[in-house]
Amino acid sequence: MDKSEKLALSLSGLLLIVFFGALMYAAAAEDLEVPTCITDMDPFTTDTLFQTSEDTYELHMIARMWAFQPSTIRLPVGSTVDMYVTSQDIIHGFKVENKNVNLMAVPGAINYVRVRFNEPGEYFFACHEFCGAAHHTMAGRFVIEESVDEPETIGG
Amino acid sequence: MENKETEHEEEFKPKGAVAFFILLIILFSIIWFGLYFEMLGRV
Amino acid sequence: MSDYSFRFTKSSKYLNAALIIIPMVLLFIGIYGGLMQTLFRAGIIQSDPFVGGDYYKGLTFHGVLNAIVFTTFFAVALGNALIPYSLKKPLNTKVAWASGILMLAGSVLAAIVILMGEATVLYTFYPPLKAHPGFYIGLTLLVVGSWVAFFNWIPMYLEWRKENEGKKTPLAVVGMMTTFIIWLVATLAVAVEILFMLLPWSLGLVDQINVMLARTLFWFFGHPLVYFWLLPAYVMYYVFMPKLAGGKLFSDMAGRLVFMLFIIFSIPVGTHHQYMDPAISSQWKLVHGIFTFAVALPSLITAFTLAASLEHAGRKNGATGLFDWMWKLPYFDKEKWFFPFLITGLIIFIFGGIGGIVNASYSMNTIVHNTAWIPGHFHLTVAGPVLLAFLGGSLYMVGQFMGKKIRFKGFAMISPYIYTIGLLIMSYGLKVGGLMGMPRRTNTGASYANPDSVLYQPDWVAYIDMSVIGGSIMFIAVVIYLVSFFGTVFSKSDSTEEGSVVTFPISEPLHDEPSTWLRNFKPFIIILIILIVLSYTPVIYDVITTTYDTSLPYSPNSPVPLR
Repeated sequence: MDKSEKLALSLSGLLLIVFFGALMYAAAAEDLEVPTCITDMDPFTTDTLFQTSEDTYELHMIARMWAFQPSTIRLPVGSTVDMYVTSQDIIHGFKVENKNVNLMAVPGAINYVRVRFNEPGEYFFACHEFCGAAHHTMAGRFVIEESVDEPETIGG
Repeated sequence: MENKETEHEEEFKPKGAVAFFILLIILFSIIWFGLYFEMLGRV
Repeated sequence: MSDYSFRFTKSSKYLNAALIIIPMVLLFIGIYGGLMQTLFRAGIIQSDPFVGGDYYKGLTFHGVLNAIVFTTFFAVALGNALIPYSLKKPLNTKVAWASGILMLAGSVLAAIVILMGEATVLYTFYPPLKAHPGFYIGLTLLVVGSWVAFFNWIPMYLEWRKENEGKKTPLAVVGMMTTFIIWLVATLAVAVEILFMLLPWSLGLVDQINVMLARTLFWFFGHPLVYFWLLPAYVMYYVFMPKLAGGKLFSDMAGRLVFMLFIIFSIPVGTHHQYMDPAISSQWKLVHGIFTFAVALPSLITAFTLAASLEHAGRKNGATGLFDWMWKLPYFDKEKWFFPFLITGLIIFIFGGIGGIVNASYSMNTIVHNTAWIPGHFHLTVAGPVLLAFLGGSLYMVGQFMGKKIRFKGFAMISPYIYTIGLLIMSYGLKVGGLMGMPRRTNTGASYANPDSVLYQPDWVAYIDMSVIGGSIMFIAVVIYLVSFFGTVFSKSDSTEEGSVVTFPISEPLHDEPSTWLRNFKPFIIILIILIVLSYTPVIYDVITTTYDTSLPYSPNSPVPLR
């Protein structure tokens, strides 16, 4: 092997190791992980939102043809949400705008992510897995406000 | 002629390709870390 | 060294020409579908003006015809050409014809049910969306046909190895065999998915299906599929391009190492498409992510080796200095019209390559998964280097196998540059839109890009419009290419004695190390099998134990199950 080839190979290896290290740092420092197996949650068929501690909420969301239940979730700034998502029919999915939330909703399985909303605003999400003729009308949003008297969900 | 060509090839060192490759790695790092910090900003 | 020529039998020449011309027609239908999709997404059309049906039907035939049918036919045609040519052995034409007929029958069957609107399930055909059984049968026939082509080459390869002990297998053959070893292993999983799950369920013999299991089997196949697309292009880069540029392949060993690394790492990586899925533990997703990083290595080595080969060519053409060689290459030489198809693909692949690393980067996948970034990315790979190399290869082979001179060489030469401009515009729009949250596979024209809709997202519109502009330029480029392609096909044959033999531009290596440890596929296949078992056993176990329900079939038109 030529010297220059060895250099190119080492540089490539180094690049990938640096990337990997940065990802492991993000996982350790910011808890940036990908969804994992959920085994401590019973299957659910209705959507709910409830408070589990002062600023923590648990959301059970159902995706179906062609709506998210709930489709609007109104919460105060600083809320942390434990989101559990499943599908009642075929595969759906969504990504919340400007947030590291991106989940597939698959029938027969529960998906989970924890997200914290530090800034007020509207966080839009659209169904991003093809789910039939009206797929493009399936969307929802988080509405995060400075003061919310009663956290609520709309569309269910 | 034939000999000269072989000689030229023996001493061929891909300096330009190495320089190109280093630039490529730098470009890759810029793009990748751009998106990485986008992700950190969305926490 | 003068170019070596090989006399193919008449029958195998007809076959190879047919394997290129027929999918070219299907490709054009698919590309037409692609153009319509950009118009749908921008809200310019609401139904297909020629074929009828909605965005999703168009998306299905665009994906199936371009990414699965055209690519498979081309890979088989290239193998049918390069393997007999490089080994100097005749092709068993009966078997080769059987393979071609199976592939054609399957493709036509699948295309018909898609165009009838009976299989609007996109090219990933995730259950519980159900397609007409003809769709699954058609895909199976296509895959089986490609297996038959591969099985036809194995005895030729083994025989050659026996007769030429101690000699290196020609790099082109190593590359084509690698392509089909990966293809065979990968398609076994999708064959299990189709034959034991989807087809009986679609026929009504089985009621329910485990959606996550089917999805996982699909991605076992779905990622190596991209290497099945890419590797024939790599074969052309390594074997043809240095010679076309006027130089030599910098390192023969690098080429062999790259192909062997692809055998090892291209399959135990599929779960990186399922980072955002439930029912698979994150640590196993990470393992697949690490292997995906590993499979980036052979592509990085390729980038360097090809740059060094082009530098060698550039210096032979009189270049001095550090970067002068880049300008001393035959970019606009009509007689070397094949070169632009390869070099444009490589330039595009700079962006395709880093995009792929981003997608594979574990938690970073949350910012791109299933957004418009993804089609933005894979158009820079499969619809970039792969398509362009395949178009160039198709034109070259059709000229060789029909014994015709290439017509409208200027059109052929310029088309990849025009295409590249369009592609970069379209992909930029898709990628930036995706980072803003724009979903892929979505008829945005009917909602998010429609000012009258309550869902209107004004921020996305500029990026959607960019994909219309880029997509239109790409379409025009392909039409320009087809003038040359069909101009050649329908031109009067100038069949001289010279025209009846076939020649390929095979590059000589500059560094030709013995690389004895890279000469045999066996150890690498064994490592592959070990890695598959280690990486997929826990994933399948997770999927089976963590899912709690199975699914009835659904049509895309109703939220009520079909039975």
